[in-house]
Amino acid sequence: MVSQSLRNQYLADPDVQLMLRVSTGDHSAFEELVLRYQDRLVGFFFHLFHDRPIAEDMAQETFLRIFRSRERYEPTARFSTWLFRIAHNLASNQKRGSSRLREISLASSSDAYNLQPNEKNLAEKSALMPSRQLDSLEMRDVVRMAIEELSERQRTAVVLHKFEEMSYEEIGEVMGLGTVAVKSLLSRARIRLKEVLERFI
Amino acid sequence: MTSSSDIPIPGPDDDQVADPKLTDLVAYLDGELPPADSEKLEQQLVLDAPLRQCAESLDRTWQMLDLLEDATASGEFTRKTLSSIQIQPKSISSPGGSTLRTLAAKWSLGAIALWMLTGFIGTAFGLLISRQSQTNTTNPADAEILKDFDLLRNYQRMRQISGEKFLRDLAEIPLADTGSEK
Repeated sequence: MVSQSLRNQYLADPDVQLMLRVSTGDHSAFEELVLRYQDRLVGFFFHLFHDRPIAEDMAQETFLRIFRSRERYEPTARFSTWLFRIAHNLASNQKRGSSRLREISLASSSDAYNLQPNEKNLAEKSALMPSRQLDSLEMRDVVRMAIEELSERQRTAVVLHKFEEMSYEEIGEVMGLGTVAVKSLLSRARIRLKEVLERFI
Repeated sequence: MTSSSDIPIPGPDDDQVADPKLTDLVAYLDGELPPADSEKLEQQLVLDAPLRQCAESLDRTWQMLDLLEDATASGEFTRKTLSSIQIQPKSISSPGGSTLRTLAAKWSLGAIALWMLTGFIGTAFGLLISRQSQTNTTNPADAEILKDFDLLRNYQRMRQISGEKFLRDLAEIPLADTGSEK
């Protein structure tokens, strides 16, 4: 049961108000929420999966879950926090499923250097550096591969902080972590990115 | 004070303990360090060139993430999403829509119950009428005939009785004494 004071704290959020309208059967309020958040959600999933159809499917699934849970909705957080918490859970489940597939695929392949594909590509890109400057598309690939080197939790924290401009506290609420844990997670992620990317600066 | 060049660089593993100094430096760059700690760190940055260089490198690599391709929802996304939840027409999907639907459902259930009750009452009434009609079909004359039905059935045998005297004589004849046979 949500205490009244906690509930009141979030009632000022206009998106919470929209969601409360959705919970009473107002579908036009749901349409408004879709319009407000669809780009952000698709962007969030795209940065995690680098695949537009998957990003759209996941965003759609997130909205579907929100709609299904409308009758049980209680404003226990800002609407965006609640939305991204659902999105994060979906992404984690998706990653778990795909990593199991990748384990099987990697076990059956015979890589002479025992390198992850991303590491190999990064090494190849790096080897080009002395001869010429990487163009912007190549640099984009390098950055994308550097992001993919991060652990799933680090990547999520980076995307939420960099692209959703969330504070450590909000990231903690989305990912179910304390602020100190988020601070440590982002610190390790940024140091790892620096280690991989500084040779391309 | 440890120089930034001596600071171990953690790997991608989440469980590794991050260096507190670097953690504070990243939090400072993210604007998440409390004012007092920020001031202290700024003084260290002035004095510690490698730490300053590390901060600049962290900032530049962070800016490199802007190169990443972004994606927004396609033109069909809204329509697909809304059709996936099968939104009802406006007349029903208005704020009172769910109430209307609930009322309609209640009316349907009520109609079914009413039909069942009517059927039950009708059947019971029919049975009652049927029994009543069976009872009412026997008129007084028929009832009299039914009363003497046994007499009528044995009429042929009864005709052999000549009269009242015969019946009295018959009554006076003692029945076979079963005790004498012993």
